[in-house]
Amino acid sequence: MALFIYKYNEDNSEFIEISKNGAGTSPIQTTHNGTDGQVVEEKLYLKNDDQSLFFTNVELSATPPKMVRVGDINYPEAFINYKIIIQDEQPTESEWLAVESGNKVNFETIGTNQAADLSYKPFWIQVGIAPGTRVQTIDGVSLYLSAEANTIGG
Amino acid sequence: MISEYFDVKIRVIFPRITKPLPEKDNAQINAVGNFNYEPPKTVASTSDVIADNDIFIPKTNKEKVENLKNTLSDLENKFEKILKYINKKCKHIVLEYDPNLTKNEALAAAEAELFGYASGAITYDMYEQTVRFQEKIDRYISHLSIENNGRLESVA
Repeated sequence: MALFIYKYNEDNSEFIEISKNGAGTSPIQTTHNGTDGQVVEEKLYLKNDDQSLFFTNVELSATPPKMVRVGDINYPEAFINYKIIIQDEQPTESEWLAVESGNKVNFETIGTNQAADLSYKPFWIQVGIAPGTRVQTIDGVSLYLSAEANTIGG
Repeated sequence: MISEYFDVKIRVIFPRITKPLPEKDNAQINAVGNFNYEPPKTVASTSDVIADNDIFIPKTNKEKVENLKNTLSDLENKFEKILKYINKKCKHIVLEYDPNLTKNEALAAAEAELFGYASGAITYDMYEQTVRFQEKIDRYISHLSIENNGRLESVA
């Protein structure tokens, strides 16, 4: 798999590779005010690191799908709101409202049969926590990426 | 068909109300290491000289131990007084940091370990608690070490 997700570190102007499959070494990390509830938006990038491949049917989704319940019996209303939008500029409030939590986005193709596309493809995620969510760290969620890898010139 | 699950970590915190460090305090902290210290100019008075002659000089080993114990106790009391004074002066100092930044990950993890969550703000009270906690741990380890003839294998 030559497709990776990166976050951009403004402190040192470097792209940091997001860890995968539960390794937890460099996750996409958001911090929320549990008392009042808080929405956090973060810009990320999808990138092909293999010059010999191009990808089709590239899809990205928030898992588990839909509203993810994180509360216990004391906080039954606590849910994560979890959305993805593919674009460079930060989405507006109305653009986020038009998207359902747990949505799936489609990058379609990255590269062609003639050449690989090794550029960073920007997208945004929005993670929202409801007011009254207890203090905790939630790591049972992930961004699920699926694609078909094709050899260039094949 | 290929598929991958990229890790996501969502942290929920109860933020504390903090205020940024004032410019004056910031400048003082940044100036540490560059300060000029000039010892107070004192002149020994006659009464000081007389007092020096009155200093108790222990003769027996028992007296030496007693004297050492008293001196240590005095030092501890003075240290406590100095610490209280520093605490009073530093109460308003708050170190604010962004727990989302990778460079602060270790600090956020340490704060969460000690205080239950990473608030992004470390007050002087929190710092003091940590110092006191460390002192207790040191004393406990020393105690165990003495009980085990200097070995710490049984300390888990």
